[in-house]
Amino acid sequence: MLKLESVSKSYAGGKVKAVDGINLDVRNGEIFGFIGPNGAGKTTTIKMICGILSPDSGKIEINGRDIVKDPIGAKRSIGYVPDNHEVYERLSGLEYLNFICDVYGVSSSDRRQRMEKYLQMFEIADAAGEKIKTYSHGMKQKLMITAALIHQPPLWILDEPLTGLDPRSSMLLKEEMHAHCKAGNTVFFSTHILEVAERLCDRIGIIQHGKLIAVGTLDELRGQEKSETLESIFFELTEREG
Amino acid sequence: MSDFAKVFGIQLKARFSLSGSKEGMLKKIGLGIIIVISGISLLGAWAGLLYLFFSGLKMSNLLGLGLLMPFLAGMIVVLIFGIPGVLGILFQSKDISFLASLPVKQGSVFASKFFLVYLYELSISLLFLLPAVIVYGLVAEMGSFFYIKGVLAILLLPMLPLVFSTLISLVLMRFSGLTKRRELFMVIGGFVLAIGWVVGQNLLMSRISQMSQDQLLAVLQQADGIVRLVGRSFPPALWAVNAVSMTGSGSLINWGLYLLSTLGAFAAAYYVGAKLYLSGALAQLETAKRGKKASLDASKLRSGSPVRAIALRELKLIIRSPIYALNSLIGIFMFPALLFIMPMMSGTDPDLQAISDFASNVPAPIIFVISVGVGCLFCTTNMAASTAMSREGEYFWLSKVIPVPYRTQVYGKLIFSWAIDAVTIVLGAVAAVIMFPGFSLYILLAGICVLAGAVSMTSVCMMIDIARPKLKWSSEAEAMKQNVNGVLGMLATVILGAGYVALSLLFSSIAHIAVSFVLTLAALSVTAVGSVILLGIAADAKCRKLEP
Repeated sequence: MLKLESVSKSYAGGKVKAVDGINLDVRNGEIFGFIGPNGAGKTTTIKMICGILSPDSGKIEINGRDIVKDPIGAKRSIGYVPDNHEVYERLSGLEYLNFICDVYGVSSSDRRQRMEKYLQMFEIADAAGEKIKTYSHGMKQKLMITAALIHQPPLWILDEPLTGLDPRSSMLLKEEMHAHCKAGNTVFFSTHILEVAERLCDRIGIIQHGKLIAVGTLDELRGQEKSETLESIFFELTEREG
Repeated sequence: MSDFAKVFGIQLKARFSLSGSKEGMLKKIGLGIIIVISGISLLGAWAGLLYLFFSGLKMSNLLGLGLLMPFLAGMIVVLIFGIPGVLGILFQSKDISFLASLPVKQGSVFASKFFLVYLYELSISLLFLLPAVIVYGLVAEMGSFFYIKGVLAILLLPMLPLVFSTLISLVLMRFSGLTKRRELFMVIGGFVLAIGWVVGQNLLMSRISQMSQDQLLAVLQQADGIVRLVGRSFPPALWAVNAVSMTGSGSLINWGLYLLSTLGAFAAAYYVGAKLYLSGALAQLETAKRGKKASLDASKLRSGSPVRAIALRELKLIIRSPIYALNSLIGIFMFPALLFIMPMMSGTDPDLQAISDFASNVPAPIIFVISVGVGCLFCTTNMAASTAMSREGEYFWLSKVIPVPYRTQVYGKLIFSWAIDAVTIVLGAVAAVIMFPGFSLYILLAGICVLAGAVSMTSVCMMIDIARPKLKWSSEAEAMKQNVNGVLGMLATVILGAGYVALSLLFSSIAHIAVSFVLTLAALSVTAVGSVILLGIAADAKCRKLEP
């Protein structure tokens, strides 16, 4: 579903290497957790996958389509939740979702059914008619998640999706992630909450200084590092590499 | 360092990236040089017009009127167009809550923001008034001290009208807090105030035109009679002009009055701002929910094409932002109002009659050419087109993520921006046809040509913004009003418009009006199609490389 081959990205005219030759293959039906310290290159990698940033070198394939050569085809397969909540604040939640449905070509009947589902699930149906400007941080996050899922993309790219969510919504989102993967689709998400990654993910990738320093199931990582918890594995790896 | 200096300094750095890299600074200097070079031709034309104007006044012994007109116009422009700047920088910046959290007196925060708006208005005033002072000095054969006084007067000029704009904005803020639809209130309030100005100015002018011939003659026979008459509408402009152009005690007294009124007004604004500013600004951050439950009925969830969705989104975002609406719509709707509607409201206007009498002797092809020129002039102020990409700001990530080709996204924006021009042209044409029914056909033919010409003017403005969008800004005013792309767009459309007028003049001089209309329309349509194709190519090439 998602394939990265030797992907690199630098800033400041090549002086700062944010992502350094990452290779990764995320399969269908898998929840993949992407973890790493602040500034490790998680968001840069995610932005390259979604087409927001262009890789300096390497290749990114989404559902068999190259994000650089066939950006429109590749983007159709993605539902993206960014780590910030920058969204047109002068639109209402409903107007924003309608806009997203229009650009992704969601039919009127489908959009109604899916809006009802997600708006009620995240308990923001009553606020959908209000301007986004009036939303709290958590409500914006719920709207962004709804907008990312409403066109039913096979690949969810979620950058810190649980930040700002209340416990109930957090649990519901995790259930949705499971259901999505059970249906043969894929979730790629970044998080700082190691317990969540430990419990939720089929496989985990750890990034440090732009390099993928470990990839595998929790059992595989435990075997490599002789540690029990993801937290101890994470600290051992990042301190050793740092 | 004082609190004011610290807060002002940090905002200056954030706004103008003064702490940026050398490479960035070099780019900005390069851009500044390009703007200056391209602006010199326009400033040259402006100076030429001023020279003709002042020379004519000198021959009529009315030279005293000369400096008053640009000074008065400058103050009125700052007063009216300062309101969106004040609303944007003082009340709707993203840094308000940060500044409010600092252990700094709110008077310092108020003053720092006030001076940010002042700097912008000053740069515009200098651009238009400095040539006026220089040309006036040459025509009136003034000494070198006159020019120093002239520059000092211009430096102070934006202060007083900005104080009024600030006080008007404080009133708007005060009352907008009482309504749940604050932004709508501010947009409508801004329009009402602007229209109020047009009505007020018209009443003043009609008072002058209502004077009997004897009274008017008596006023005109005094060398500075009409100066006093016009200056009475805004005395500080008169004091400024007298301070610059007089010598000796007359100059000193007027300097005293000008300085006192300017500094006194700022002191009053500072006093009010130090007490009320932050509460008004922070009130804008408070959420105002209407408590209306959203309905998911079919009419609200009708599907549409991406182009339609983008055009509609642009419309909603513009009309819901007081800054965007006041900057991109007000000027455009005000021009037809100023030029056509207000004289109609004042009944049988002798000036209008004189224009009509004069026009009746002008050949039809020239009426057609003039109408094309006026129509193109309307299109030069379309800030919506020249900031189409910049307004995306931090929301630009969405344009990169959605599966819609950049070309299509830009065409959605083009349709919306062109629609603003189209509405203006249609409104202006309707008003002109009502006023000059004898020329209806030529006005309508010119209107059709300008509708086609507006496509390329809008496209060129958008190409400029796509080439160098200002995506990092902390207030909407910065994205639109203080975006150099707006000035570049204006310059480009003036040049294009002049080209279209020249083309229509050429065709009119060699062919019958019907043929010249067809030729002009064909030429402008070809330019429209070419510019749309170029815009699409530019969007595909540039947006791919743009990174938020």
